[in-house]
Amino acid sequence: MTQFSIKELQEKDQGIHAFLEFFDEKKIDQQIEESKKRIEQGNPLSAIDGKTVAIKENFVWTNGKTNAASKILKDFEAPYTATAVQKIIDAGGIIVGKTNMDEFAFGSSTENSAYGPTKNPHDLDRVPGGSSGGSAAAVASGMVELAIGTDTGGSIRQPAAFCGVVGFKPTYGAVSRYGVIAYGSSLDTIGTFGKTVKEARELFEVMAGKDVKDATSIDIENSKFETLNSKQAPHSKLKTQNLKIGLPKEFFAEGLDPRIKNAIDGVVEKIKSQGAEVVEISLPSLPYALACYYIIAFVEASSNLARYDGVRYGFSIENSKSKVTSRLERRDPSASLGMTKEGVGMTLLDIYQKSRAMGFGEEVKRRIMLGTYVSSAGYADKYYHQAQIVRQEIKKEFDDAFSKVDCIFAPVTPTLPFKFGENTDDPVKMYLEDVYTVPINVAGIPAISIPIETAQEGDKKLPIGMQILGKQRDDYNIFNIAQNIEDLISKS
Amino acid sequence: MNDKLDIEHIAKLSRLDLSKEEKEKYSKQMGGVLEYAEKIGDFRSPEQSEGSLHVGRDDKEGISRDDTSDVEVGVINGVTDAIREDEVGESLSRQEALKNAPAQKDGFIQVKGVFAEDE
Repeated sequence: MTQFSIKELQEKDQGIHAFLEFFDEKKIDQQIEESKKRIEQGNPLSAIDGKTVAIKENFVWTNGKTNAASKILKDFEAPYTATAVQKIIDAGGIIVGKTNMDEFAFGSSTENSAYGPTKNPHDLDRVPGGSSGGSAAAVASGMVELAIGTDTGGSIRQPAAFCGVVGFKPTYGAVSRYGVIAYGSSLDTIGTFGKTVKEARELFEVMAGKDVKDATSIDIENSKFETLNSKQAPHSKLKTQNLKIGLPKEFFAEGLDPRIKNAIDGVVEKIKSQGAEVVEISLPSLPYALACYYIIAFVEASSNLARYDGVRYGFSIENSKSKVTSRLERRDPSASLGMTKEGVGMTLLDIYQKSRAMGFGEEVKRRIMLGTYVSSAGYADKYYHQAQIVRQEIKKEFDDAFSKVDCIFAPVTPTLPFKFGENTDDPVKMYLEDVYTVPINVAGIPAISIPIETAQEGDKKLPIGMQILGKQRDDYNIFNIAQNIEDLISKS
Repeated sequence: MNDKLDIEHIAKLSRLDLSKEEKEKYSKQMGGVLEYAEKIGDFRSPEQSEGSLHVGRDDKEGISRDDTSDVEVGVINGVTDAIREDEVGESLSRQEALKNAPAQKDGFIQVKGVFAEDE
């Protein structure tokens, strides 16, 4: 049970900036009291009753503000609460605040937040990853026990790997997207962070389930938690000696930091010594997955962000305060926005164009324009429809692979956590950080990132993560396998 | 890159007001990203290789179509046609829905005239 203090949390967060908003301390204390009583009486609401939880800033709730780390939603107060968040509240989870992220989840480092970056607790000169960098850092630094994030192209798994915590991305649709600020609607998933596999699983179990408010949501079958020594299931497929693991050769080609490759090789050797079979497999469409992902994601993003128009909610040039206006003008004096304080003389088009130009950050504008371009007349077939064809092939190849193996091991990132500014000059360089995570979103399959080792860099130990992938709806089996690996690693 | 990026057109379609410097900067950066994205064109699915699926061209008439309706889009986890009964359920109140509107009048979100002549 947590001895909790918001002030302590705020002090700790000074050096990290994982949080953008803290919940009311009195309400938190009250919730902790109620939870204590329930647990003492032997009636916990769930496995997470009384545990502290952080929520990424792209989940709406009625208990505060939601801004998706963007200026265009500054001070936005949602009129409803996301299903995933409500489920956590109903399960007794103690939500302490909202965490930092890349603006609208566009990014792999949390450097794109309009409210300042988050630092990696393992090395304050390095990024925590993104876009759920705040959630990962909050768990890694011990500020909270659990956190939730979203994963559209790796935004849970990659920061989990960079911060040395467990990060789980479920099958597409396993958790309702109702109340999650949309990025790529065919790719967005809601997942969990925890220090251990068990904790990440318990939080997922609370949120999982079909929701009438999300037409793409599904129920997946829960399976009994099984360990290496499970007496209940001696012939279980998940007992290590019956396990068949695939290693896609396309994932272990050039571009992967040798320290990461060696760390994964180490895990493979350990699990082989327990009797598991490890085979090399091939997914020949993988080299096209990154381009496929970015084309589809950008198109969906440009569509989803059309709603931020300075008219229905959010920042509007029409009643922007002069303070905001002049600060932005000073930053870019050549920007001849020609605006006036009261919006007099502006057309509707002006309201759209100027509100969006001022409210959105750079990466957001880039992605909107790229998405518009690759779906526009004359280009849609070459890029968008072609990407959809690639997507179907990638899904097929994963399906074929899972008919031969129980799960797939893969790296999470090609590099160790990088330093601030290292990848910000070149968008493609930053996008390449996602090369091992995006195929999973393209295929809609579940995957977990678990910390397996650290690499010495100067006087710092930088975390290394490994992915375990499963076929669609195999989420709980993936947790079982991950638990076994976690136990195996901790024993040695 | 085959064509020079028409950044004016794209910015207008995206409803973004950009300065001249911004247009140059974004145009360059986007060019780099599109160069990477181009590789998608090298991919051939089995259907494309055997000629049973064409993207963007109606070979019979030689007309270039920008609408490849054969291509499957959006079915990720098998869920399709998730519809419900056409019944009124719970929804946001008008007050809640207008909560964050920058301009409102008489219970409506206020917006500039679309066809107004003198603004």
